[in-house]
Amino acid sequence: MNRDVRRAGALAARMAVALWWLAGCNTGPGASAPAASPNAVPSSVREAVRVATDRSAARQSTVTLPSGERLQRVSLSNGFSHVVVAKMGPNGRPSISCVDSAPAAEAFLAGGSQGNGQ
Amino acid sequence: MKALGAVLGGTLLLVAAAAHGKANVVIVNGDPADAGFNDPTPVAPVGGNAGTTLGAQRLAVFQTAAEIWGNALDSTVPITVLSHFQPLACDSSGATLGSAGPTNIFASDDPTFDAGVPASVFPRQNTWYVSALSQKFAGKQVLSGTGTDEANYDIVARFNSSLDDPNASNCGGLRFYYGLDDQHGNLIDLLTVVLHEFGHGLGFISLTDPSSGTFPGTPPQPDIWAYYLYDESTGMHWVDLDDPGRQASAISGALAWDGTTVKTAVPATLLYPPVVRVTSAPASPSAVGDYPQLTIATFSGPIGLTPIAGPLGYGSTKWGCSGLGRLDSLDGQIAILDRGGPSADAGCTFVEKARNAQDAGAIGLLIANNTSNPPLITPALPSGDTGSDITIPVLLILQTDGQTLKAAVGAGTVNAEIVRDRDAGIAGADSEDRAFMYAPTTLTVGSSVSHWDTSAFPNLLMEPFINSDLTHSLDLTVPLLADIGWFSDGGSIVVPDGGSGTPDAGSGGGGGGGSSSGCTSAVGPPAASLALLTLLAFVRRRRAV
Repeated sequence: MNRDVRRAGALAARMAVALWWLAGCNTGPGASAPAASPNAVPSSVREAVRVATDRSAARQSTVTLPSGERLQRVSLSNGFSHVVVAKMGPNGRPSISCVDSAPAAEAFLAGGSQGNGQ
Repeated sequence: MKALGAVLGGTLLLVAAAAHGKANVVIVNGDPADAGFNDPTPVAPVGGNAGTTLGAQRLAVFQTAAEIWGNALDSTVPITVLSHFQPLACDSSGATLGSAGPTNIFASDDPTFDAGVPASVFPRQNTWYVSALSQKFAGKQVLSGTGTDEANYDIVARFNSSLDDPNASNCGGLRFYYGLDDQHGNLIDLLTVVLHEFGHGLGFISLTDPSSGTFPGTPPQPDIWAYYLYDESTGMHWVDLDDPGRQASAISGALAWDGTTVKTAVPATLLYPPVVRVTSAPASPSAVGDYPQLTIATFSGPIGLTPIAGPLGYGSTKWGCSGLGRLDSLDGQIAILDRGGPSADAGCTFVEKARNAQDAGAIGLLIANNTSNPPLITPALPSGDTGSDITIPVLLILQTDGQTLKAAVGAGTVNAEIVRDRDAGIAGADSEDRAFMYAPTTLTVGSSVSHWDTSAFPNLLMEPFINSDLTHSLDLTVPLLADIGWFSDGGSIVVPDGGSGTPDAGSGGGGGGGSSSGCTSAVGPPAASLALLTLLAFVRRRRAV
């Protein structure tokens, strides 16, 4: 009984930590950056990047190999994704950037280009 | 709806690719009938892509990317990529071209091992790896690679079909190029973008949250990248830093990759940066000095360690466009021409300027930018022009530098040279050949940490900006993947050819001479592989001296 209680407590603690971690992931790498103006970029691209890079649905489980080796597994249906965004440069050539957060996408789309052009 | 039902019913089409590669990267077509990869819209074959429908051409690009990666990696377990080509966001500001990433990460949880059980198949315990690499270690398919649950696959990829919608003006004119020959002109080379995104899915990704420095998992434990990310300011690897330390390092501007294979490959991949050096200007002594902020045209002739020297000459027609008449002789001179033309609709391409300057006898061409925003771009070829006749160096310089040099030329003789600057060190790496990672000090465009730094020269596949001068080479990506565990059981890699400090290396093209796939696979022990890498690097360095 005590063992079961301890197990339940440990499980609860692990779940709490998991929720904390997942919440942390959800803040994204741009969280420490200044908040971007919501009007700087139309919302569809920013929102698409936010969804694609959202890790809040990640779930952790255990897998055992035939050898007996136990693996921890974190799954995320959306994937630990990076998103490629593009905009057209003033001379008709695209600029392309790979981002991992909505603020980074917004900074690229609203800001100066570093891609190639002509 | 009916087609979607078919997909949800699990009738996913498996398309095997890279049957001859060391790894089998399998593109799983997750699209419904008549859409995405199954779009029946007739199209003409283009650039080596024989597909005659839009869907077939899209699929051929994905399969080519799978084949390139499959030939470069080693695994006995199929790597599955659930792929979609579907409408994604577009608006007046731009578009999402696509996304991809690993759907699972694994870490060996050693405590369940009993005495006598063979050691873990994972190189490091309690360390996160992406699933494709984890399954390679296991030698067994842990993920089913089937069904509709995206978590059953190693990688999920979604790309934007809206760019092909003839009525989708809201994509701002952005279009994919489905050819396989890199002749994309002003279009977006889909193959390059897919290669980049697959790279993330195969392990070119830091799993640490850079905004907090927190490792993934419960309890948090490092990913394999943490052992190789090296903070130059503290001299510590991420695995040895605490969360605040990693958080600070991610925006330090001083982050590098400290892996043996990458360090060995750097001298053979990256180049000393080019510089325009004004050696004398009697009438304008303040103009003497180095002008290092420039880009090399993708079609430029080679620039080596031997200076290309001569007087500067400002083109008689200023812009060098054919429509403005012939340029006066520039025999033996390094020409200066202005970007653009006398009016918005009277300009010409970079390559036309280069062709005219070369025909006028110039030994090099500096194109002065006509704008400060952006300060530099990489001059590229228009679609259908190979630029193979251009033999002189062609560089774009800052608008302000152009103004300085033109003023100096107007005042008197200015002698200059174009050369690779050995004193500046290899572009994109530190003095120990650690390649810099992208860790901008403030939030900026592009994502941080999981890319090479933009100072790398020539441009690399896994920089945050997917530059138009990339050549479908995997360049330094495969050495990094080798550092994290690919090839750890006997595969070997060969560094890309065309290395860097060689006297005449580095055609101007940012591609810098990588092989078509960046690497080839061959059976051999890791020690032999490293020996080969070391030998190549040694030879190239000796040649550079």
